Amino acid sequence: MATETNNEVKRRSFLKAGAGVAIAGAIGATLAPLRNMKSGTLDGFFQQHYTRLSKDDIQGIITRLEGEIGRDYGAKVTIKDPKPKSGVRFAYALNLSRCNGSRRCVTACVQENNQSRDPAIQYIKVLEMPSGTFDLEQSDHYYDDEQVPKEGKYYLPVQCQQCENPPCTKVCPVEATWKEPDGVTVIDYNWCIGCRYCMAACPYEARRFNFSKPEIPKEDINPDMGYLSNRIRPVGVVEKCHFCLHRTREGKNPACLEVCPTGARVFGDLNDPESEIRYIIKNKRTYVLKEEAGTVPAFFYYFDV
Amino acid sequence: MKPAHWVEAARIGLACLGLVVMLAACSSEYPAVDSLYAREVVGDVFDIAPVRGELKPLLHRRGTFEYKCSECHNDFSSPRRQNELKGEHAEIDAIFDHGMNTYCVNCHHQTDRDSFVAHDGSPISSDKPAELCSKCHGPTFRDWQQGVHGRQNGGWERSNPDRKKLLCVQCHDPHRPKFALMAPDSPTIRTRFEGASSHLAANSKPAQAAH
Amino acid sequence: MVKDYVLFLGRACKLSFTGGGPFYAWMIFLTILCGIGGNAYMTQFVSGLTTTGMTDQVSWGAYIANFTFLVGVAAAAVMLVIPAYVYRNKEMHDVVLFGELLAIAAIVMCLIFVTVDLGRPDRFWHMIPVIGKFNFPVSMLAWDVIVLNGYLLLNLHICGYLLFCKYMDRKPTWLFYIPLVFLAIVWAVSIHTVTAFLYVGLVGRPFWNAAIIAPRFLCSAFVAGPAILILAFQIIRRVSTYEIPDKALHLLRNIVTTALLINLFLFACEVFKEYYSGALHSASMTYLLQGLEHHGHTYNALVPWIWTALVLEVVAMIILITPLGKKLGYLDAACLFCIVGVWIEKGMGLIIPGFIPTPLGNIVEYLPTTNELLICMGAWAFGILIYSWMLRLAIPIMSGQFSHEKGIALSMSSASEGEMK
Repeated sequence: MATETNNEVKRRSFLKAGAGVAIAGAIGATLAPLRNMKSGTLDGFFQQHYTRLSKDDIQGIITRLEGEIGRDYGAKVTIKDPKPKSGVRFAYALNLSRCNGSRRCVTACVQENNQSRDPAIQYIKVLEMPSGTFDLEQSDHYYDDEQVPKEGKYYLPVQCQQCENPPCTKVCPVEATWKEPDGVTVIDYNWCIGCRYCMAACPYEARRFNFSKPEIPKEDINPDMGYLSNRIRPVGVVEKCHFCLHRTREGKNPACLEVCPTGARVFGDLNDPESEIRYIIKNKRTYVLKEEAGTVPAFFYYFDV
Repeated sequence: MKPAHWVEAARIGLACLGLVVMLAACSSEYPAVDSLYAREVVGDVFDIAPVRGELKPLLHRRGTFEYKCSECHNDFSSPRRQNELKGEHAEIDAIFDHGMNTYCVNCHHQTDRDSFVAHDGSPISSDKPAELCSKCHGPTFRDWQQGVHGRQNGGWERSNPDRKKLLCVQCHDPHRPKFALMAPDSPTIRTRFEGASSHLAANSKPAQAAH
Repeated sequence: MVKDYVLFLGRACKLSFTGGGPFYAWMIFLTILCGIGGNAYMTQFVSGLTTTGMTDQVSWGAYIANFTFLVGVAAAAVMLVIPAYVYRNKEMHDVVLFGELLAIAAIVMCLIFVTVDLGRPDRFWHMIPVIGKFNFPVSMLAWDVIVLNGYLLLNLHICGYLLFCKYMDRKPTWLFYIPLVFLAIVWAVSIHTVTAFLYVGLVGRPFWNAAIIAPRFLCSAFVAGPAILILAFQIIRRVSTYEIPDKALHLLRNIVTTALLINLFLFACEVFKEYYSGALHSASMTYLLQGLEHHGHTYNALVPWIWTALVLEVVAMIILITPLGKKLGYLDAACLFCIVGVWIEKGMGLIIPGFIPTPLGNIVEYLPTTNELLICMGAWAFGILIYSWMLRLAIPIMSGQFSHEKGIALSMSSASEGEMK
C-alpha cells in the first residue's frame, strides 16, 4: 500500500512537472516572435505630448531621435523644430488649367519628406479626370500615359487640404494631431497611437499609415528634417502633407511647388492682402474640394483658361 | 544687274553657307526645347533656381557665331509669314506653333530689325518681351504682373530678395509657346503591397518633351 | 467580511481548475487557440500592421468589424435585464446573470479587438486622462473608451456582487445593485449608440454618414445578442444541471424575432434610399450588393458575403415567424443563422463598404490575411474562455452547490477529480 501511494505521489508530481513544462513551452511558443523585436528606449516610451514639452525637453528628444536615425538608417541628419511665424496663415492655390499631370510634385514630395520607399508612401495623389465632370469616382489615380496632358482630361492633384475645420483632429482620441496657428495640421509622430480614426475621418484621403518601419536607402534621405514634418516616421503612426513646414516656416516654398514644371501652384500667406494667394482668391473663380463637407480647406483650385 | 537678281544671288549664296554651317553645327542647331523642362533635383534637396532658361538676347545663332538680326535684314528683305520661312530660318518653320499668329512681323519690327513691334508700330526693346506678349495675352500678362502666372521662385514671402519673376520667353518658346507634352512620373502606388522599385526609378528618369 | 471574500476568491480559483474531462478538454482547446492567436499577435506586434490586409484606402478591417459586432452582443444583455428588472419576469430573473456575464466577455473581446488594431499599442497610456491626453468630449473614440470600460465595470460589479451575495446566502442590498442595473440599461444603449456615432460622425464617408446607423446597430445587436444567449442556454442545459426554463428561451425568441424584422426593415429602408435616388453617394451600397465596375474592372468581393447574410437572415425570419420557431431544434438553427447573418452584415458588410470607394473615388478591396484571422480567432477564443470560466463559477453558485457554508459541493453530474479522491 505504502509503495503504491508513493508511486501515486510520484506519478502526480511527474504529471505536474509535465504540465508545468507544457505551460512554459506554450507561453514560450506564443511569445516566440518577440525575439525579432527591436526594443525602444524608455525615454521614448515615456515621452510626453509635444505641447507639454519644454524647449530643453525637445532638444533632448531631437538629440535622441537624430541618434536613432543615424543608427537605423546610417545617415547623419539634423532635426529642427521651426515654430509658426506669428500672423501668418498658409494657403495654397492650384491652377487646374496649368497642371499637366506630370506627377513631379509627387516625386519631389517623397524625396523632400523622407516618405517610406518600401512600402511606398506618397502624400500627393494626382487624379486624371475626364473633362466635363467633378465626379471623383470617375477619376483615374493610376494613369500611366506615355505623355501628359492627355486629350479630354484634366489633372487634379490632391493632398492634405489643411482644413480650417479639420475632421481628422476632431476624432483623434489622444490629440496627437492638431492645427497650428499658421493653419497647418500637424501630427506628433511620437504621440500617435495608430488607431487610424483620422484616416477614416478625412474626406480627402490625405492621411497615410506606416504599416511597417519605413525603408529609405541611406543616400535618398533628406537630412534637413523638422520634428513635426519630414523626420523619418516610426512604424505604426499616421503621417500626411504638412505644407513642408520645415521649409515654409523659413520662408521657402513647399517642395511640390518648387518642382512644378508648369507653375500651376501658388503658395502664400492668407493674412497678407497683397499676397499672390489673396489675388487669386479675389480675382479667380476658385473652388474647394467637397465644400459640402464643411471642412473649409485652405487649398483652392481654379481654372483660368 | 537688277537689284532683285543681286539679292537672289546673295540669298542662294547665303543659303549654301548656311547649309555648311548647319552641317558643321550638326545636331544642336536650335536650343533644345527639352532642356527647358529639365528638372533640377540635385544635391540634398532641390535646386531652387528656376528650371527655365536664361533670358537670351535677340540673336541668331549658328554654331559659335551670333548675329544680330539687323546684320542681315538691314540688307535683305524678310518673309512675312511663317510658311515662307526658308533656309536660314527653316528650323523655326519646323517647330512653329503659335496659333493664329503666323505673321513674323506681328512681333518682329519690320524696319527696326533688332526690336519687337508695338501696336502703334513703335519698336519694343528686345529685352522687354513681356511688353510684346501683352499685346495679345492681356489677362495672362496681368496675372504675370501679379505674380500668379509663372512659377513662384525663391520663396513665398514678398519681402524675400531672392524672389525672381521670370520673363515670358524664359519658359515659353516664343515660336511655340505651348508647353510640350511630358512623360509623367511613374504611377501612384496602388497599395502598400505594391513594390517601391518602380517608384524610385522615377527619380532618375529624365524629363522628356514631345516631338 | 474581507476574510470571507478572500476565502471566496481562493475557493473560486480552486473551482476554476476543477472539472471533468470534457471541461478540461474544452478549456485546453480554447487556451491553445488563444496561444495561436497570441503568437500571431506577437508577429504583428513586431512587424507592424503590415501583417494585416489593411491598406491606406481600407484602413479598418476585420478587427474593427468584429469589435462592432461584439459591442452589439454586449449591449444586448439589456434585453434580458429589462424583462427581468423592469417587468419583473420570473424566468428572466433566473437567467439574467448569464446575459450580464456574456456582456462582460463581449466587452473584453471588444477591448482586445481595439487594442490589436492599434499601430502603437505601447502608447496605450496616452489615452489615460491626466497622464496622457484624452480628447474628451470631442473624439467619439474617447467616448467609446469611457462607455465600454464603464459598462465593463458596471457589469463586473453587478455580477460580482450578486454572485457573492448568493454565495454568502445573503439577500443583496437593494441600494448596491438596483440603481446600477437601471444605469446599466441606459448604458447598454449608449455603448452601441456611441459605437454607431463613431462612424456616423464622419462626413467623408456617406455610407456611414446616415442617421439610421445607430438604430440599425441596436436592432441587429438585439438579434445577435439574444440569439447567442439562446444557444448558450441550450449548451448550459446540456452540460450542467442548472435549470433554464423553456419560457425564458421563448421570451428571447420573441425578442430575436421582433428585432430581426425591424432590422430587415431598416436595411430595406436604407437600400431604397440609396437606390431610388441614384445619387453618386450610393456607390458603396452598390459595391456591397452588386459590385462596382470601375475602369474596366469589376470589384465585387463582398457580394457573396452580403447575400449569404441576407439569405440567412430571411431564412431565420421565416423559421421564427412560423410555428417552426417554437421547436427548439429549429430555434437553434435560426439563432445560428441570425448570428452569422448579423456578423457579416454588421462586420464586413458595414465597415468595409464605408471605405469603398475611397473619398477620392478609388477602389481598393480588402481581404484579411491569415495572420489577421488567427488574431481574430484568438480573441474570440479568449472571450469564450472567459465566458466558460465565469459560467464554471456562476452555475454552481446559482444552483447552491458552491456557497460559503458548503464550500465546493458539486453534484456527480459535473463530477470533479477533487471529489473522487
